[in-house]
Amino acid sequence: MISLDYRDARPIYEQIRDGLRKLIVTGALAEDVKLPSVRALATQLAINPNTIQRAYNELEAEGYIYSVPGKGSFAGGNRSGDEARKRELMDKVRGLLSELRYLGVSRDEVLTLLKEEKEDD
Amino acid sequence: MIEGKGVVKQFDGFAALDGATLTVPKGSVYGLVGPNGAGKSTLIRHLTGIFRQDAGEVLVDGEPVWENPALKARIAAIPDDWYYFLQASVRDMMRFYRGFYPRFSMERYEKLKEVFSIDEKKTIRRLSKGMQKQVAFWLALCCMPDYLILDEPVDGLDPVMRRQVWSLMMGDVSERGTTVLVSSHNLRELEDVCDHVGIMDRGKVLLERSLERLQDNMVKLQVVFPEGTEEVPPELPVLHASRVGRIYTLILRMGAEEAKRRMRQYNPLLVDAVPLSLEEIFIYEMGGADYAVKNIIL
Amino acid sequence: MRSKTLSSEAPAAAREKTPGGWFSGTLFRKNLSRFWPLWAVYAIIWAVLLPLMQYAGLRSVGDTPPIPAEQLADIIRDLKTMFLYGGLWMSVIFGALFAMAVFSYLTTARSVGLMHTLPIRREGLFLTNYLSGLFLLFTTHVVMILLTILVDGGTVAAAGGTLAAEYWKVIGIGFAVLTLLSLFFYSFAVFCAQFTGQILAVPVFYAILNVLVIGVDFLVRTFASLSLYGLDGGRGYSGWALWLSPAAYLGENLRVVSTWDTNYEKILRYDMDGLNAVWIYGAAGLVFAVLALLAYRRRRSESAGDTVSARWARPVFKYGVAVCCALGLGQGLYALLWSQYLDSATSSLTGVLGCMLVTGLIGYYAAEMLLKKSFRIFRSSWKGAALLAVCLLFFGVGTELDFFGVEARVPEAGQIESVTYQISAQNYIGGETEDPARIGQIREFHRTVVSKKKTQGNRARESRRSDSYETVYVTITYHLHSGSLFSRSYDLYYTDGELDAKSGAVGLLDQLCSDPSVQRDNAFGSLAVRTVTGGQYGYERPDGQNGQMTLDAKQAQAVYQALLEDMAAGRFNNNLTDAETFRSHEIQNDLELYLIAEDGDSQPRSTSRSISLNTNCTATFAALKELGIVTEERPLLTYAEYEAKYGDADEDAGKYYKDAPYAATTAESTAEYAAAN
Repeated sequence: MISLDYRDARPIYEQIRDGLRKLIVTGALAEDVKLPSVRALATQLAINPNTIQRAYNELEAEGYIYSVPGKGSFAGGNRSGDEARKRELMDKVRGLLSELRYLGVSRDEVLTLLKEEKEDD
Repeated sequence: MIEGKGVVKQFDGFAALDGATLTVPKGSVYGLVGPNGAGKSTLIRHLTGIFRQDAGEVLVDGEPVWENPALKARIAAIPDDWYYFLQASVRDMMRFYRGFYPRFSMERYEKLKEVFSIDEKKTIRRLSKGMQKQVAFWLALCCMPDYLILDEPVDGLDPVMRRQVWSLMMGDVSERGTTVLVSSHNLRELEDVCDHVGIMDRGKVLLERSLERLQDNMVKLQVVFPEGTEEVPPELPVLHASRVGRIYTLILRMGAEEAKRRMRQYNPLLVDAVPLSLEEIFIYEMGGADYAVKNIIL
Repeated sequence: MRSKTLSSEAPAAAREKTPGGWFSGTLFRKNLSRFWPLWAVYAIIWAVLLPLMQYAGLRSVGDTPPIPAEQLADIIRDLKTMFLYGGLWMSVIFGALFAMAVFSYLTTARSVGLMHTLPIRREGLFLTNYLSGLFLLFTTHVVMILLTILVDGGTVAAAGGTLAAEYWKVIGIGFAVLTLLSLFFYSFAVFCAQFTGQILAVPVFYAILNVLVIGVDFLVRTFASLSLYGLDGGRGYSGWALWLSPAAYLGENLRVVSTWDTNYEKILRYDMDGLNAVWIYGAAGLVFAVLALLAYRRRRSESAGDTVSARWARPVFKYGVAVCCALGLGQGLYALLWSQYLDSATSSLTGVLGCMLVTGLIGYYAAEMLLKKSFRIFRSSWKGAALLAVCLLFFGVGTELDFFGVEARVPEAGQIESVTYQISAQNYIGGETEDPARIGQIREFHRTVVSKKKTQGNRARESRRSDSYETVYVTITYHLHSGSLFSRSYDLYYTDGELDAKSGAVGLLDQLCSDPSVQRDNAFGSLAVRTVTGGQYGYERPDGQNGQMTLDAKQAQAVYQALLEDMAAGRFNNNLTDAETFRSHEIQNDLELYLIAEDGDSQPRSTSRSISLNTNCTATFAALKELGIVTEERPLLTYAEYEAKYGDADEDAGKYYKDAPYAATTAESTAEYAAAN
């Protein structure tokens, strides 16, 4: 499910976290689908379970997943979620927008893109 | 929990351990790194009860390891040079370990036989060095230890087997709460599996942190300051700064979020947090001290 | 308490299986399966020594059907021999081999690493390994003895009676001997193994320690004889030194002794001698086992691979090797280069010391190289070398200058219980005395000799080159009340003039030799003669063959009386002369007397003595002629006369006893004695 890029300089837990996040956002991990257990992921990827636990904790704090005691963690959750994450993403968008501007993409083209995305909702 | 408190060991006047102190929390995977001759193997031999310290304490779960069979029954050690009886087959060594370790699991032995796919009747002497290492792992894991102490464990293994072995150990850590102590040169590999790290040099443990703390307390920023700022603002706690053109690369001892926040007051044109590898973290952590850092990190 | 809570988390099964870790069945079984080849060799050798040889002995019968009693007697004899000698040497060799095997894991870091991480105490490791070796040894003994019983069983049953009882007794004692000897040497070797981390050092240390004390004792005595006037160099040894050298002591003292019947025709019985030592050494074996355990507990694991593992033992090893090299190789080197005669008169102190210094330093540096496992030790160890050199010099010079006054010491009369003396010149006069007068004479002689040390030294050196002096070799041993022995030997060089004038030491010696009681003691020793029952007179027949004439009791008694008369007059002394004079005076005919005598407190028994006559014994000559023993056909000839007539007299010595009707004569005389009493 998740594959790690060994050349990626980011900390492992970040890769896992971001990887899972992507799967959830794109819908590959549908709502209420059970995530692999910490143990299973640790043995599959041969990495420290505490690291994985940390990733799961952050995802839960950000609202992407929720956990049921005794049963495990599941995709979905409190969408109202993490302000910090939202801010982080907005910053990223801002960065992307400035690069687009640099490349000469017009405001209208950006708005069109936005409409397309929103329509898929 | 494994504890070494001010362990001193002298060999004919030479202090191999000069007051080494380390703490390995229960259920963690602790990486012990350091250059050759730092004393890693010596310290490990104290933790497994082979050597007796000249001064200081060596404790596991609060009890001294020395001459403590009850404690040793829960510790499995894989040294860099594993010993097997000359004519013994895998099965023979298994029987030997089974006779000593009360929790030895035949079930696991059979399961792992598939994993390692080594003929158990074969004489160990005839196996390749790498396969001998695998057998060492195989048998150690079957002892169902609470503590796994490994000295340069994966050196002779091919990448597939390395992953296989780590995978098994990680499984134990998550399932049974096994505590693992690994000594190695290879930081890159340890980065994946460790959650705690300690650096040794010249008989002392210089630094010991959890990986989380290390990662959360340092950040590498790429910053471009606005026109007019020629220097890095002096009030910033910068561990290291370098510049290429107008792009500064700053290492700061703080979390990424906080660093970005602080940067904003300077109205930078560009602020980007770049991840730090474990190697880099160590280099910059140790940079303040008087050590020839290049020597420590391979 | 925190630790208690944590350890109680371990499953109950775990705690049960390691109840303190004092022994491991797994390790025990592993040792048995690992070392079975050694066990097999040991068993095979014993199989040959005991049951197979017994079997072969029983099978090899002559033409007549075997008599069980005879066979059993032979079996018992063979068993005693095998248990004692076979038991000793097999224990010495295999005790060491088994110890090396079970403790070989201490010699590599790899195996130490495994064994000491296992959940078992050091005491457990030691006990398990120690018992493994012992088990292998003992079971072999049991099996082999059982097989032997199987082989011998039929014969034992057939013979029955006291012989069978003795057989079982021998089996029992033999088993005990095998057990105790192997226990001792095995434990001793185990003890040696605790002090080294090199596997090959174990047998070396073991072998050396087995003979070290007696060896050093020998070397020190030899050195003393080089530098101290009169010391008994190299001969004999201190009793205590032998006790401390197990293999040497047992090799010397374990014997199967045979008891002959009174006629020396047949061996009546064989007995195992020296068994007391076996019990004592067996107990010592247990002591060594305990000591070995204590040493193992303190042993540092990192000493695997070191020549000497205990730090305190390293200087002992270093200086010990150096001193032994100095004493042993040094004296050997000196003998090679300077002189084959290691005596104080002609030895050169500088020569000896020089050789000892050189060899001592070689030994010191060699030991240091072994300890540090490197060739580059010269710079770091020069202080010890200097210390060694100083000590050797001090020892050498001190001994030579006789700091302790050893040379000049003559024991006080009050200290002396008895004195044994031997005076060898042309002839041999020896004896033992408790007589204060004679002891006084001896002491005076001793004092005189010691005071003339320098002169004697010069004369000794001169004698190497020219033949200007006569020599007499004297050994004096004082048996002191304290139980120790005080022994001296001297080569006394004298001139004929001195002897004639009866002056100086040689004069005193001559006086001693002429003393009637000395003469009597020399001829008859400590015997109290009851009766003379007969004799034998050997002479040269005209045809050149040896002839013998038997004397009857009457004749022998008369001769005996005449002998005593000559002795009382001091006429028997033909000792301190030159060769020519001696040969012209000494009679070469054999004269033997058969006696019934008591030796100390034992019962009177028949024995015999040979008498050496010389031309001064006028009374004896007269008696022999009167009795018709000596005639024209049976002349008394001196050695000079004999040589003039027939050539070398000594060649024919072997011919004499061919026709001895010894037994018959003895029986005769015993019967006569019985009849007379």
